[in-house]
Amino acid sequence: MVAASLFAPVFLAGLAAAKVCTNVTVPVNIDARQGVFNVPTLQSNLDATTFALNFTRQGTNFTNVALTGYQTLQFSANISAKYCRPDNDNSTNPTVQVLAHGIGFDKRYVCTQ
Amino acid sequence: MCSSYWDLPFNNYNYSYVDVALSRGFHTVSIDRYGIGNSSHGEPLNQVQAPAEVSALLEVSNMLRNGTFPSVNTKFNKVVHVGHSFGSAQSYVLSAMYPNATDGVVLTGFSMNATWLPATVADWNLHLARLNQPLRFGNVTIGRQSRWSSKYLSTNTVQLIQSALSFIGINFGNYAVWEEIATTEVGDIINGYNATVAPVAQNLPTGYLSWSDFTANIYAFLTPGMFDIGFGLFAEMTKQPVTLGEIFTLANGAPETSPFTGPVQVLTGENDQIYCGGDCLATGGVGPSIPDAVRSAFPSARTFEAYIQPHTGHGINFHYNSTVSACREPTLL
Repeated sequence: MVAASLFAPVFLAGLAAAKVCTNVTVPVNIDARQGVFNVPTLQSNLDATTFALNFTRQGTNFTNVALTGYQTLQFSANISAKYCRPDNDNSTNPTVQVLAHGIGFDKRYVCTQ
Repeated sequence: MCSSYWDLPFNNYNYSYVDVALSRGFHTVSIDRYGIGNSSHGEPLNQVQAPAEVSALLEVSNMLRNGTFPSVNTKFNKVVHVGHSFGSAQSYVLSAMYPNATDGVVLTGFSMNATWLPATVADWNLHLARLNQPLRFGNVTIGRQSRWSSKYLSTNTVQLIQSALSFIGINFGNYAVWEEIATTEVGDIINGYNATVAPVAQNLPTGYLSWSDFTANIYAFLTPGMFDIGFGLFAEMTKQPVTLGEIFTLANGAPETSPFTGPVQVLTGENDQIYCGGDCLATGGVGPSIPDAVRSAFPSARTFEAYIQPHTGHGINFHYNSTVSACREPTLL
């Protein structure tokens, strides 16, 4: 185990150099049909708690209560992305993985470096 | 790479699923979902919702397939989607609405069971993001050039707060002060205070919310004893908000099944509180695991596998076992 931990920094350094990454801003055209909700603008943390209470109340579907209708939105936005490929990539037909993070995180969820 | 990676110590939070994917020859594109991080921040109630985010995900995917993704010359014949949590839900919706837009789906930190969503929202103790972390999400910038700010910035934060409390008669030992900072909203409020590079204050509208502190984060995302406290604090310091519109569309509006005919893998931590109520294997005799039920949402999938990662909560990548799960994903692609 001691030998492994002595070896580790060299091994990690080798791994870290094995990729080429680029930060990219991707302009996208968003086209989405989604709900129009009526919730008074939150003014305080107290309002945030009221929202949470409303949302979690048993016997009530607050999403339905707040929904006033639907709209189709079409607008431009920017997506911040990080593209990575292997440094010695010689594949003729590589597969790309699109990685989508969850709530409370961002793209660093899959790579903290 | 994977067999030796399992033995390596957890080092300076240099976690990278991307490295593992690249070692297998994949290219990766990790995104900040629309509304979050460095992507555009829209109106939080009626603009930043799941459908708009799925639309952005579709656009990114199509660009990669068409060879029109900025800065990348490759035209990819195969585009697969690997999501976590809400990212999984959106990848699922993508496969259901646009099955030809994806060649494989890996849904991590996910199940189809929304039973514990109210408990999660309750745990989060949602506060306005701009009040919770004002230096990142509010309208506050601490100048690092002035005489005053540079004097206090160089002082150890724990000592600073300890002195301030002592000045008004509250005398705490070092560890108690650490707890009062790290495990309460105090730590969030001052987050970014003495960062080497000053955070950019995003001045988000009030409809952007966040959970109140590190302990709320632990409850929803982490399994006690199975993660490095320092890495957990890193997660808290670098967290992102959630919008009202996202909360409304977390579970609502998704199609019941997806017509996708390719490979599907689900990978969820055994102790996932959000999607399994803390125990993915406690199914009451119905199926091998709670995430396994995602199978019925993919009746036409070529292959389906649900893998439960032991000793792991919802935030899979922040646990000690994270390299194991990284090597497990996506073995079917």
